[in-house]
Amino acid sequence: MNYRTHALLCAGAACLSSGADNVQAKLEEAIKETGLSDEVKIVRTGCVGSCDLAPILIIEPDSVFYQKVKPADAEMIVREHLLKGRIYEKNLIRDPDTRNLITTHADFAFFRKQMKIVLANCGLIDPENIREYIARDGYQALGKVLSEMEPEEVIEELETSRLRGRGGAGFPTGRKWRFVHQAKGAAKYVVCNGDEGDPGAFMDRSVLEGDPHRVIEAMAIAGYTVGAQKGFLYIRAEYPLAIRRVELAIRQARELGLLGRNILETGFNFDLEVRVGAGAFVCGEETALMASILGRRGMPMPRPPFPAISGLWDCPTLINNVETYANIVPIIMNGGAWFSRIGTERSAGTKVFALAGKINNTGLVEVPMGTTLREIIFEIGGGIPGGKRFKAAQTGGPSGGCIPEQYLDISMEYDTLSAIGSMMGSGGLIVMDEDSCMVDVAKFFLEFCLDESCGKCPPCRVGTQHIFRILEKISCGEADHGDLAQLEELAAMIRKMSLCGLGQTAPNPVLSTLRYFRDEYMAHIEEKRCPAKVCRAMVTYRIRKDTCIGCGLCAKVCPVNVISKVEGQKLYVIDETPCIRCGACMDVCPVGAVIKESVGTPVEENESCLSRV
Amino acid sequence: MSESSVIHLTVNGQAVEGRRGQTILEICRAAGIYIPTLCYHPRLSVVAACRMCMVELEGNSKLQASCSTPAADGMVIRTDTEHLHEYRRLNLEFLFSERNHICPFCESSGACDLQRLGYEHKMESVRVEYLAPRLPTDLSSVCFGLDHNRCILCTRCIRVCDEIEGVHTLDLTGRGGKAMIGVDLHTDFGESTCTLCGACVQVCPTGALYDKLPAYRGRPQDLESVATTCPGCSVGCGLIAQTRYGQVIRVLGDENCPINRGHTCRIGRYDSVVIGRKRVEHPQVDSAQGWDSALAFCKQHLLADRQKKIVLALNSRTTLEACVEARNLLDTLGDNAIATLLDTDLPPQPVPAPGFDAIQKADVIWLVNCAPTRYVPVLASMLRRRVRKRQARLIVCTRRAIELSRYAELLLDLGPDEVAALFTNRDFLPSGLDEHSIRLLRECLQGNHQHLVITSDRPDRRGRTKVFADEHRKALRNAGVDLFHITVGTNTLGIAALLGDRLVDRKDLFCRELGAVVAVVGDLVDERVPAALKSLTEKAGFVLVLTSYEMEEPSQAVLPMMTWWEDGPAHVVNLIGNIRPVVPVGPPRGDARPLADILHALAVALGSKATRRNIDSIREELAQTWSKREEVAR
Repeated sequence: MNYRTHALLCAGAACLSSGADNVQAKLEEAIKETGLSDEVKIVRTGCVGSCDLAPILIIEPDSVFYQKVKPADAEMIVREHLLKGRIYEKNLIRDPDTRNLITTHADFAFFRKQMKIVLANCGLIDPENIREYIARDGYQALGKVLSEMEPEEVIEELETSRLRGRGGAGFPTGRKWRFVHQAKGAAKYVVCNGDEGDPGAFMDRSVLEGDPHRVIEAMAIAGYTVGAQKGFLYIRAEYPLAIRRVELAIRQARELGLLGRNILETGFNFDLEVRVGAGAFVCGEETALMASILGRRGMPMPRPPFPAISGLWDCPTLINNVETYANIVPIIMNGGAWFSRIGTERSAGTKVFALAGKINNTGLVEVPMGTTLREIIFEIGGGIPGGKRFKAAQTGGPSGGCIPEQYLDISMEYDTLSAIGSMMGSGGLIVMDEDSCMVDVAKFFLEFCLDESCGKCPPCRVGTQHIFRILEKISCGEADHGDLAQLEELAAMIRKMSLCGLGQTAPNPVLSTLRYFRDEYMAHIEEKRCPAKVCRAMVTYRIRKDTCIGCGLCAKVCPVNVISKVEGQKLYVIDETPCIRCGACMDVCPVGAVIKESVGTPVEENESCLSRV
Repeated sequence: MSESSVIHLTVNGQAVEGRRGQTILEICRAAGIYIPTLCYHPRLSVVAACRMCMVELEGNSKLQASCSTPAADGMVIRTDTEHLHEYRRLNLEFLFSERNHICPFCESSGACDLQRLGYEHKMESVRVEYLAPRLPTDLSSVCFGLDHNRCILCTRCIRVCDEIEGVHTLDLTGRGGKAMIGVDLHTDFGESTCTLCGACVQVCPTGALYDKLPAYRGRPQDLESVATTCPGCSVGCGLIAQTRYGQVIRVLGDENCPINRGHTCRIGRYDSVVIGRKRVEHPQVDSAQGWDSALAFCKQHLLADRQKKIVLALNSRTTLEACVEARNLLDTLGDNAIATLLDTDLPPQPVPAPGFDAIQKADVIWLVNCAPTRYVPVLASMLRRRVRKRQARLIVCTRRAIELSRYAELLLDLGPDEVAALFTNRDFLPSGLDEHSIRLLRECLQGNHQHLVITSDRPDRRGRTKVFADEHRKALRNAGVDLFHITVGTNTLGIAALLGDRLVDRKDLFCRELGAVVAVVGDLVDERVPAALKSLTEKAGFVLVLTSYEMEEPSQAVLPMMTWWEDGPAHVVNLIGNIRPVVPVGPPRGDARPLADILHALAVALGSKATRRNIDSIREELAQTWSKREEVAR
């Protein structure tokens, strides 16, 4: 049936949790009521990317982009836009600078600056329908590889493309495929690492949820190239939607003979199996991931032997990240030379970043390698909310480091990031403004590593606990210079001595914040002051006499009842000593009379701080 | 280049040679270059967890774990730089700070790898904060304790349990700082699948796992170690017996013994050490005092009734040397004298089983009427290892479930006849099998699999010994099936070979009128001994008991015999025909004498002129006997 209009409703995780299902129900109802059932088709797509605007509805072919659509809005959009052809302005985006309405997403800076290769289909097609993928030239690359190309040619194409692994380390993908292709073994395996665990990063989830067939097709190509007949998609249990959609996609591909025996009648056999992780970050490390697939405890093993030589069941195993696989099909279709022209000399192609933190437009963005951090944050990301000042951006998740203001114009690629002590990682990008305390940031990431350490080697298992304790001491105002020296000593040792990437990079956030924000550490240690007013032990809350209107809300919310009314006055005061500095009074004050101040002296009650360890 | 080709390395400026395929650590150890380790154990898989063996590799900015990094030709390695020393020391401080490692209160102080490395690295204090968690101590096991507070998570115990004993009772639980050794899934040792082999205790580098019995009875530096053979069963594991003041305190598996390579089981490690019964220290013969008058008394009574049979009932631990003396005694006593076994049955085919290699090359293993875990636990661990690694399939043919049943693909209630029929008659199918079993059975029998049938002469619960008849043995041999017969009893095979046709089945003597019985009980406290003794001595004219421990059963004469740990130097034969040494590890108690000496003295008292024989001539005789039997079997 031919439809006049397609209503693309984003069914990514953010939109679903913002009520996309209710929106869909209302849309369907309204479409039925208005008698448009034969003219308008609702398509549930993968993630569009701008997750802060969820739920998102795009009307094609008009390309009108509606944000934050509530069920009531959905009804209006049907009645106004679909029925009468008038754009429903309430849900359009407004340009933050000019305050003008933006109708199509092509006009929105967030999308305009992006270049979508990996995410090309996300937000456009229904990921639960293989025919939509095929309509977008899906599985053509597999057909081309199976019928026209020798494995050697595929590898050459990849080498020409200069594609590097998107999981973090940036190993040349072509070379990895060649290793596995050349390795000898009774069987070979292809594995997709979908155990995305960096806090704030979710590009792999988006690809798996929004365009699962692209990964499946790439894995089949990989199977043909390296000589494997079996592949595993390892997806973390926290991604139930991705698991469901990938499993559905595998079933659909099998039904059409695109997986299984004698694919496209070329005699090539390849099948996939989904393996679900049990929630360990370390299983993103390839040897731990393989142990997990084998049913063992997910713990890293020393390399060599590398998986390419001896992996699953001691057979040569190719392990690539989701985003890496997502680049394979375009490379095959358009040629390696095309791909290598995108990006920079050392890093070809695009990279997907997950914008999070203190930034106006959060969500997924895909930009060519070499785009500057400034472009990403201020043009695509729309800058820092509330006119606050940019302080630093953390890339590479807990394994990476922070990039301070002076490097805003850094070209975002593998080697430049490593050079300044950060790393590309999987592409998480957390923006921090002047309200972020860098000691606190380091502590946050370190606590993550401490929780996620598998416990195998002492540097990571014990060392991170000690580093965390020292950071606690610093943020409680109990540390001295000796502690700082020890912090650096421990960090250096943990980097050198740990078994796997998790431990080796665990001290990175500490080392990079120390490198660029040493003065902040010094303020904590010498002056017992937290410049960003974050560390609880170093702030006090006070009620401004001239502003307080005596409403008493603060006293009401105070969990420890330390706010009292001044007799005979319309004024409240906080008793500082028993105050636990939770900030509830500040949040609730309608006139902003509660202010947070930095103290210069350590606070007595540090036990509440340390007891968290 | 071949696997064994020579490679050249430079370690700390010194030229070192190794073979391709070896790790850096192996080459350095062989060359006498010291690299500290904690989690590494030569018998176990490499996990590179402890990070103590890190070395610097020229041209590589990362430190490498020498235990896991394969050496390559031309490598330039440094094992002893200032940096490495600092890092290793900090690593040790991490371990010391993590849990409770207060040496004076630790059983392993003095034999602790962690402690030793602390001294070696000049660790004067722990510069980081003590984390001091309060962790539980698991004392629920009969034989050993697990104190999590002393554990460094090297996972040696986990690996030995999985890779050597093959039960995988232990593994890690929890993550990061909360990681702990787990017994099964959150159970205690006492209720777990633990086989009490004690291998985990032996490999523990600290005091986290320790034997209960010897705990605090002597630190390793106070003990003397003697290598000997286990009295427990016919596997004949090499043991290291550690003594203090002549008393056996602790028993370890002998790492240098090719049979068990350091492994042993509950019987050898714990059950044979402490018997807890009162010793017989002097001859207890009527009013006689001392050996001479006791022997004279025995001589007189042994020959009192020459019309009836005189029975020498040996225990299965009787050494080869004692067997020779026993035969001499029988000869001296005349044709009426016969021998029998006290604690085991006569082996039907007293020839050694094929070597343990048969297990290593088997694809399908059949257990027919035998319970290896109970009678030959170390052999059971070999089976478990092979089966759990999916290198062989296991089919258990016993009437009742045995420990190994849980690893079996197929449980069948088949006797030796039926098993033999499966191999000889293609159309034969045991009745009462479901479809799945039939399919599995067909799968195993078809194709080019190496089959190994393991059986034993242990009687079943009804007292019947179900063994393969001679024609079945021949048939199996012709079908290319290996037959591994477990001769139960430490030296039963040797006894059967040396006493030959003078041996009769104990059942034939049941409640018979006997002239005299000489029962060699020794230090055997098998629960079957009293019953066997009773059935033999009920109608005997004279009963002489040679024993190490006091017994309740009545007898006219008791002579004190050495225990296994005191006896020797002597030898036994294990189930695959290896001659194993029995070495005295402690002085005898009281007037106790070796069995061979007692039997010799009795024979001499009775007029024998035979001299003692050495092991070489015994070995020759064994070889001849066995080759003759093999020929007959063919």
